[in-house]
Amino acid sequence: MNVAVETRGLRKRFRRVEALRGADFEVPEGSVCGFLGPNGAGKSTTMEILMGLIRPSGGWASIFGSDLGSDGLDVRSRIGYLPQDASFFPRARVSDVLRFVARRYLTGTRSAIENRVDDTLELVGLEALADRKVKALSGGERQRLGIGQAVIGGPDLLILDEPSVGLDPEGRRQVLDLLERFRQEMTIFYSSHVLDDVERVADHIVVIDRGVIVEQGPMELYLGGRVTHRVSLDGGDARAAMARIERESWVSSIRPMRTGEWEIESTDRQVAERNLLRVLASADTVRVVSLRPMQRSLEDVYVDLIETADDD
Amino acid sequence: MMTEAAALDRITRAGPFRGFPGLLGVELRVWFPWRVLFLIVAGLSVFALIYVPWRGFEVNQLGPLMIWFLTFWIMMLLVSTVALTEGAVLGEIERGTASWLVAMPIARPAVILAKFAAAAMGLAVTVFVPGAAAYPVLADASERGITDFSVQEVFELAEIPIGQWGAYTRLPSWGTYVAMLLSLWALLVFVAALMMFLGSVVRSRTAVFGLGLGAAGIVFASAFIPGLASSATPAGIARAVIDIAQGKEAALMAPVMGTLLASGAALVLAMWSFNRRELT
Repeated sequence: MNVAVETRGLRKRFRRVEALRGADFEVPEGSVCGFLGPNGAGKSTTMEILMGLIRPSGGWASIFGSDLGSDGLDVRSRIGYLPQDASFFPRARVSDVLRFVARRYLTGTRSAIENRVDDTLELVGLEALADRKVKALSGGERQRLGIGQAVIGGPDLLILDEPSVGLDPEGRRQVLDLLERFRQEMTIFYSSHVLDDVERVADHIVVIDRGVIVEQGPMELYLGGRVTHRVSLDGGDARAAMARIERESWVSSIRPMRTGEWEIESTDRQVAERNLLRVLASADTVRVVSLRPMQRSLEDVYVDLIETADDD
Repeated sequence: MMTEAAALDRITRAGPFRGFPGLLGVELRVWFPWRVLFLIVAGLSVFALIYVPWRGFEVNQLGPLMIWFLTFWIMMLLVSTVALTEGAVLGEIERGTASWLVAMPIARPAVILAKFAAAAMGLAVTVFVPGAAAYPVLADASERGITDFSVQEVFELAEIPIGQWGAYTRLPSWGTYVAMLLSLWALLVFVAALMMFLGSVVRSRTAVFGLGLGAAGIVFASAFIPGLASSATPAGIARAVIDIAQGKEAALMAPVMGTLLASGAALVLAMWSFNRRELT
């Protein structure tokens, strides 16, 4: 697996605040990686280190195998970046901003640059606003301009810090549509609080909490493979039946619910669905009243991860 | 998604000033035309505000006109330079534009250099246009001062050295006058470089403005301190300009060279500190 972004022991201290406490993670090349974590977890700090805006207090980070310190300009030539509170030249026109950014990354004839600007305006749906001053744009329009300027240089890696923040549902949908279109052309590493959005487009997640990476991996590891079933039993020794279930290799955890049901988490949905009822039926002392598969959302996974990290 | 992808190549060259030409274009648009126009009009207004009463009260001596014009004009230019450059670096850091710029493949020193170069060009125009426009009027005033009042004869009779209090002042030659304007520009360039440095190291715009204004005031006031006035420093330039306004001989080369060197040092320090500054 080729790696687009890699960090090892990344640390950052701002006076008394330790924003990153040894963050290790990888973003596979070609993936859409959602970077999740509560407020103040260290997401923006990590991205700012990756962009060379701030220096790490310890550890290292590399992008496409290049060191950010010595190869900073070369690396940045391959990255498009949208900061959380993006600020462009306020008095410039939308097309001027895109033209300026395009010329920082690309060389070519004037008409080729202009075509790239026009294509990008169309891509982000701002062609009608090409001559509008940046300061006159709405929040959603400004965010689309931000994404446009991030991709106009044809980057190999797109780093977006909260691209959907402050957007209405339509604006969020437009951002997600754009990410879907870019996924074939570049690696995307983006942070977001909107877990539904991440679940829709990301195929890899990295979860950070209080400066430490608490989980990372392919999305299907968290959503596709694992499944939870809720079982309601009647009569007999339910605990004994559950103890028998727990011995199965495909069961990862069992916990009783306040409703009297049992929640069984298994590592393989297909195996679980093939065997769960058979094993329960073999326990003759109990009667299965109901058995329901519960699809775990990214939010469930995220809350579990953060709670586990907090307990630790 | 892109129609002319084949005609575009990714820029691969690096270097400490990558991105400078594009940034200079942006920064020049900050100065030209409105800032520069404002400073030209302000400079001409200062001259008009001195010249009109001078004509109205029929003073008809070149000395007061030269002294008052240059004194107020230099003060106006120093304050304007401080005011217009105090937010050049720190303002962009605070707005987030600086982090947006340096996240692109743009060398950080190029950001400072472009701001400085644009300021230097803008200040050059704001010094030379009103300065050159004032010269024919000063030349006319010089004629009036000699013919109407015969001040030269009065002073010679009184055995007072010509030009001592600026009552009678020789008009500097065009060459000397241009050299004086050039020196004044070098002084403003030094202030601009100092502001770039302050903006790169200080974290408050109010502090940058206050320190810049204080530094400009010290430079101006140092022109009247004997030791500093004759030194190869910005204070030496201020003194030399005042001397020329009084019709005296003045050595410009040493203070101008010293000031340009100091400007270079301030600029290098500004680039160095901006290169190290964390942009969050």
